[in-house]
Amino acid sequence: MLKLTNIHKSFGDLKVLKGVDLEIKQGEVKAIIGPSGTGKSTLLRCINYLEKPDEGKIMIDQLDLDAKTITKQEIYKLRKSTAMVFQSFNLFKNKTALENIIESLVLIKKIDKRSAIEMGMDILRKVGLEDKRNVYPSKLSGGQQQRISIGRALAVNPKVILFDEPTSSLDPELVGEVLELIKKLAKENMTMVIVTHEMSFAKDVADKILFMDDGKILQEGTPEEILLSPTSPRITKFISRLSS
Amino acid sequence: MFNQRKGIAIVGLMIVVLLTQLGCTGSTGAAEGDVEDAVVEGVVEEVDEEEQEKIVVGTSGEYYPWAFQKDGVLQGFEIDVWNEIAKRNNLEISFETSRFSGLIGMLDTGRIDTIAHQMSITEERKEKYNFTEPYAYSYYDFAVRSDNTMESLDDLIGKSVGCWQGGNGERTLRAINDEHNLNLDIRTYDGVPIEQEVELGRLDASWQGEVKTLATIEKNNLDLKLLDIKLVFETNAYPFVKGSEKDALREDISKTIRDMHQDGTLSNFSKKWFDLDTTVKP
Amino acid sequence: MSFDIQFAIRLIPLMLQYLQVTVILSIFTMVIGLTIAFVIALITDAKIKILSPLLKVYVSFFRGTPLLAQLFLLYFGLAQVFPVLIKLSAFNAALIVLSLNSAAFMSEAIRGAIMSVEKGQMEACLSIGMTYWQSMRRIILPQAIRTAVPALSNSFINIVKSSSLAYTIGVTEMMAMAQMEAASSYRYLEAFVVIILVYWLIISVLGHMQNKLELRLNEY
Repeated sequence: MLKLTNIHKSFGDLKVLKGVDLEIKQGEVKAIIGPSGTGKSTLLRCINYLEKPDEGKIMIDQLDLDAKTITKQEIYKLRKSTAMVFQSFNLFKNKTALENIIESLVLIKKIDKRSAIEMGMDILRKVGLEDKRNVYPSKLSGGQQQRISIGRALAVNPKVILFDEPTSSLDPELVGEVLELIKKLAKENMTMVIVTHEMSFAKDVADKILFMDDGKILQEGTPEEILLSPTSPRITKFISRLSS
Repeated sequence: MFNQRKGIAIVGLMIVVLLTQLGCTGSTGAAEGDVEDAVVEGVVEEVDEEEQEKIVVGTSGEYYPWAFQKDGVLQGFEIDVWNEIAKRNNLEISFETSRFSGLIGMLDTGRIDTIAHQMSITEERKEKYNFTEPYAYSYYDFAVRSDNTMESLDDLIGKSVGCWQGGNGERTLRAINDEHNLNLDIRTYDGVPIEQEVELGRLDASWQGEVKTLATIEKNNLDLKLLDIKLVFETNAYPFVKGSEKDALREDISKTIRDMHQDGTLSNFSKKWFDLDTTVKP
Repeated sequence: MSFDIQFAIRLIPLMLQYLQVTVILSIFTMVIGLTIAFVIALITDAKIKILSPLLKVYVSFFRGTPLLAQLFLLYFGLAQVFPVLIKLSAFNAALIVLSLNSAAFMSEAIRGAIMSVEKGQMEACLSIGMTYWQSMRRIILPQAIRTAVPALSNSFINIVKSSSLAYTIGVTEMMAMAQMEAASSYRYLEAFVVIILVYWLIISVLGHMQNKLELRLNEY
């Protein structure tokens, strides 16, 4: 359903992605782990073109996009099929919880306001925050903000949701509610790519774990394969440090 | 949080008001000074059957008693003279007030037709402007505090002297300074009470038209005296830019000024404002 | 010389009569200047080719030269080269120069405010499929305006105060009135005490309005 081929990306002289291939099937959950600065987030951001890859192909559904020839219109189409959940939530500060969710419905999908609000309320119920509909982000806890932000991603009705370290900037006691919500989505067969540091969570929720190092995918496999039979000493080292 | 339609409506409204404004602000009737008055005048004038030629006279409104504004009314010797000229020549007159230093620029760019600000005929100015018949004659003189012991030009050496910026006063003062090696500290002002600067002791002396100084001293009971060093004598007339449209009126205006000299109108105005006759050649 | 209270009181209705010129000039300047400022800020922020370096020069010119010089350049200087400008009334010349000048300052305030909005806000907009301009209009500018209000209020206050410079090219407004009344009566103390109080009052009212506006914008 989503297929990346040979993605390259440099920032100036620094090569961040050195030819990444990745394929995700409908309903699959893949977690990306690896040391900091190895291009995990960049890879994710390339998938919905917040970063433009220097080279490589992205195929999603009927779209077949080549970095060399992509047009603005194609980028907008790509973004309608993908949604992003950010580490620091990035909720629209001047919009209430509900307004954050329905923004894309009204503006992009051109759904009339009343139906949009109904759909928005459904989503708020799904993330368990219907009582916060008129609250501005600044009045919400980090966990609540991240759940609204997942709701905003759901409203796009994307083929795939991209999570960029969704719990990294949360206080420990707030991590649980967000992970629970993601697990719930996984059960509903939502296709997801999750960059995370939470090994145990990755093990729980992901069908496959990808280990990234130095701009490449070093190993891809089930959680068991990665944890029990790592193919590289770098992976062993990384995992042992996490569990210690 | 911000209502867009309302915003657009407000901006739209302002643009409409502005455009109306553009149409109406030709020359503000400075005598009344009010924008609305000017608009009303404009309407009345259109109804007038006889087409009156317009003339716009520039002055400063802070040059007592030649041209000044008091209680919102522009008045003074120059204003009386020009209202009389307009009456006798069937001209529709309006006054524009500005800083003195701005008046020359306004004259050169055609925004005003002439200047009523005790302007004197000089060789330099004659290159650019045609002057009317002279209407007044004045000496320039130094004024100092009454308790000052200065008497002659030599006493002024190294002293600070104030004059009007860009006027004949400044030009002549610089010439005197050079000629007599006075080493003066010349300070130029525009719209500043030079006489008060002398009285307060911030200036040692002022240099301006004798009539103007005398009138100001008397009106405000200033503790000043004139030094009676009358090195400069100037002839006041109204300038018109050579080749300008209104220059054609100059002959008629000159004739009116000659008439007003003869029938005593100018002398009367002068006595009214200065308590002396500055309109006869000494 | 003592303070002539009666003279001062007599000046007040005269001041108010000319207050409208000051107010109209200031409000029009603010509306036009703010509109231009937004256009400049958006073009500069979007880094539109050719235009945005040109506008940088514009901003640098109007910020880097005295307002009075700009006023004289347009009203007297350029009028000698372009005769069509002679038809421009002093009021409109002042309006144009004040607007262009204040736009330069306000565009910087707006640009700074736009840049102060977290980068993540724009990314979030783009990630759900909004275009650059949609993001600006719906999310970035509303947040930026809140940051910009104090600076823009300062600009407006400056406009009110600098509108008195229009007198130098012959616009009779409040300051001109005070100057002329003072010169003709030699009562500088009274005239300037009154005018300073009137300006102070206007600016205080503006300050009060600014506080109210900020409270309203601070709901989120």
